[in-house]
Amino acid sequence: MRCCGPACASRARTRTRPNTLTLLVVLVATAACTRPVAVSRYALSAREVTARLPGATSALAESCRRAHSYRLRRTGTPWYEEDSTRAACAGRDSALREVLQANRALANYFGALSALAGSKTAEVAAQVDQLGDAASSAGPFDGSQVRAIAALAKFAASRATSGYQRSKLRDAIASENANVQAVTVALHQVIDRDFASYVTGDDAAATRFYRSVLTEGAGHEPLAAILARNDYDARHEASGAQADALRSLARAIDAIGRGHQQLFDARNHLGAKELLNGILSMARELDGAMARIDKAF
Amino acid sequence: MPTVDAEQSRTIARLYAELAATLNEYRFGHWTELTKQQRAELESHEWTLLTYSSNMTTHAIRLTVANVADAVTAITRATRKLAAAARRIADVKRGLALASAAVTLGGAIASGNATAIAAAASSALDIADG
Repeated sequence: MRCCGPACASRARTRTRPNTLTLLVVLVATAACTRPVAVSRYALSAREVTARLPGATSALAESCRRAHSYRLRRTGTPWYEEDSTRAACAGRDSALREVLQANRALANYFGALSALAGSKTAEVAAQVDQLGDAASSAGPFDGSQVRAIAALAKFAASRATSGYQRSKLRDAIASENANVQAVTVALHQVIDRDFASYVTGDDAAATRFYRSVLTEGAGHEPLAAILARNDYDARHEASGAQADALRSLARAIDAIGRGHQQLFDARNHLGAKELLNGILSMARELDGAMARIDKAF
Repeated sequence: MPTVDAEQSRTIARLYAELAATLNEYRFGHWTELTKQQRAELESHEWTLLTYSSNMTTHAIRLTVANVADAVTAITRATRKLAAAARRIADVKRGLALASAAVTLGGAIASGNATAIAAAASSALDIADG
């Protein structure tokens, strides 16, 4: 495990004489400490949450067709074509596509954030180790010179990549925070209120349909009535689970917004331990929410 | 025609749903007093109100998303910049690999070993070609 901070620097000092090489080793250790792990962890969790939304919208689109089929069957059309339910749900389908489009923009942003934050400086270090090996086998260098070349290259590479990486992350987080807040607030509203309203309305349609059918025909067909009631119970229970899952999804979207705000507030110290602790706490919250969402959709 | 904002759409959607529920309670509460024709008429109104409610919810969603269209566009633009930055970091890695290969080639040339020179040159060319 890589050591970080003053303790590591102290150990480095005791192992080698205080020369340029020692200074370089300390600088390399310091550079490794400031990797933006919090950003990487945040972006991964946020992206996983956004990946859950398409499942929920598919369920709502399907639910609309089912609810409309109840209406058709109750208003004198015992047989209906798929086209008629599709036409009746075209407005909802279109609105759901627009929600997914906004969600996709967020997902892509988190993906890019994750790719940039997670760019493996370790891979750069491996490349630099190869440079050290190459310098060693090249001949006209002694051992300390080879180590100095490797350390210098490692430091330069680390500064070049992680410095650039942090500045780009900081720029993106700073410039996009207001936009991420606006989109997450909008998605939260849509999921928490409008999607929940769809579920409630579609469940009311199912209740209306089954109750009407059972009230009219239970006396004539008792066995069919039992089966219909079982069918309704299962449908109603699934609606309840979907409503719970939507609440979890809405809270998760809200947490994504708060997490981005934390990154924004700490944008000049993206390697800070406090930030990582806050993000890890948010990630645990999101993991729990995603488990509940996966059960329903 | 006056425009209805997202919040008003939600309120109207809720009111339609409540109206449908009221009619539904009345229909089942007075089932035996109502004729079959009256029950059918009431039920038809309920379905219409439920559809109106769903449509108003759809309207609320569309307005909410439209309100953040500029933010979505800005996020998409920022995403492209982040991806370009990530690609540039990959270029730094490639540059280091190339430097490593170049040092190996230099060592091989200094050693005068033809086999080592050929192998190092081939490796450097592979990396340079990407």
